[in-house]
Amino acid sequence: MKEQRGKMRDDELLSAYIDGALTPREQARLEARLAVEPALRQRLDALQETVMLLRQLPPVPAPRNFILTPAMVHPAPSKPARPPQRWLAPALSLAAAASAVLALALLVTSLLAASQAGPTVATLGAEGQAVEVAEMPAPEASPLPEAEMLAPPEAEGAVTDTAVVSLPVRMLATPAAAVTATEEPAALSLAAPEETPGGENARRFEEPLPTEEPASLPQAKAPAIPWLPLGGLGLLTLALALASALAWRSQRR
Amino acid sequence: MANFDETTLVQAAQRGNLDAFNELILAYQDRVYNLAYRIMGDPAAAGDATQEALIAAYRNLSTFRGGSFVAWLLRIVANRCYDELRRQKRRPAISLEDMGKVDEDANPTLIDGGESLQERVERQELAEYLQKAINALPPDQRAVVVLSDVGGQAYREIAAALGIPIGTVKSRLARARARLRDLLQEQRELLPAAYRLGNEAER
Repeated sequence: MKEQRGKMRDDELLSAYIDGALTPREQARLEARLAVEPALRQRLDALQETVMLLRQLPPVPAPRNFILTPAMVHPAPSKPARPPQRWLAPALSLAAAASAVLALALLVTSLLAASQAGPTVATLGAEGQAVEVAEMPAPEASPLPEAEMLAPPEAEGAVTDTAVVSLPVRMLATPAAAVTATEEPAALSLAAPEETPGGENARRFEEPLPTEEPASLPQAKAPAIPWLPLGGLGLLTLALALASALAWRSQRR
Repeated sequence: MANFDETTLVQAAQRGNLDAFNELILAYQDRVYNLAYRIMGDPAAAGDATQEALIAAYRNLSTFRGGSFVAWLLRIVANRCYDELRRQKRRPAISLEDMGKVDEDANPTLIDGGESLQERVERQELAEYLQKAINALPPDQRAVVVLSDVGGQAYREIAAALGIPIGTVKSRLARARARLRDLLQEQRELLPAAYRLGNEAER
């Protein structure tokens, strides 16, 4: 066993010697041994002949042409994958949050304007709801940057939208809300089908509504709440939230 | 080869010119295939490895940074063969009885004009015997010894091609050569007289 290991070590020395890869010192020591050890000399000779035979192996030509067709190399030499755009997801999140804030600001200011025109609406409708809604952007704005899951930004966007859409419904339901613009129901039905999640929720809100709704709508005097821009902003928020969620996900890959 | 401008062809190929790359292939496919054949020990496997390596080379042309283009190609095909052998990981050692047999078609050799028929047959038998001996080596040793002694590559190049340290190249090469030497000596009587090894008494 020990002898075997010694032979292996010798073969390593001899192999490196053939390639001229020994240090001068190793080489001198080996050559001194070769001079006095015929068995070692014989191992070296045999090893040298083996290497020579390998080097003389006749080349085997290619049995066919190996030229490439375009189909074989498709896809073409790929450019290095685009580095992930780290700014994209945060930017989209920020834009979604900004859009939500803008929507709320618009809603609150128009509600305030409405409440000044019709004080009854202000007490029951606008204030009660406005406070509730004002608290909502917080969850949306803060968790976005660390959005791990796909769902939250989208879901929160939907919640905001629901709030936006359902608000006027509540206001309509309030007995005192006799002073709402006539085009509101139209605006509502316009927004609802576009936003599936928000729309459905809004309808659920709508259910308990008294059916005499149209009847309780006399000629409006209050300044109109800009439902169209609000709906647009809601949609924008939703889209941005979705895009940012996708961006976060693709970045994690 | 007179008007063969390797640098221009490589640059054209790097810009996506497949025809230019195919010209390079035609110039070097024999060397690439030969290396694959010596490592794989089998024409079909060598053909597959060659084709795959050339496709990989074309796709990764952007990583070629000058130097010898054929050495770069050989490195890729060696790496491919090495991976393939490790993947197979089977390769039972070939019995000595098998090694005595000579496969007539497996190993075409170049005909040397000045050679007698007998010399040619002897040379061919020796080449086949040697290839079988190479095939009997473990994959790790096979790739190293072929790259070194058939491909003529330096330790450093082999280490880079196979992704192993130079010290590992040295030890695997020594073991492979020693094993081939022992196999050749054990079967000395099968070898043509001119190639009988290591017997001082015969000289």
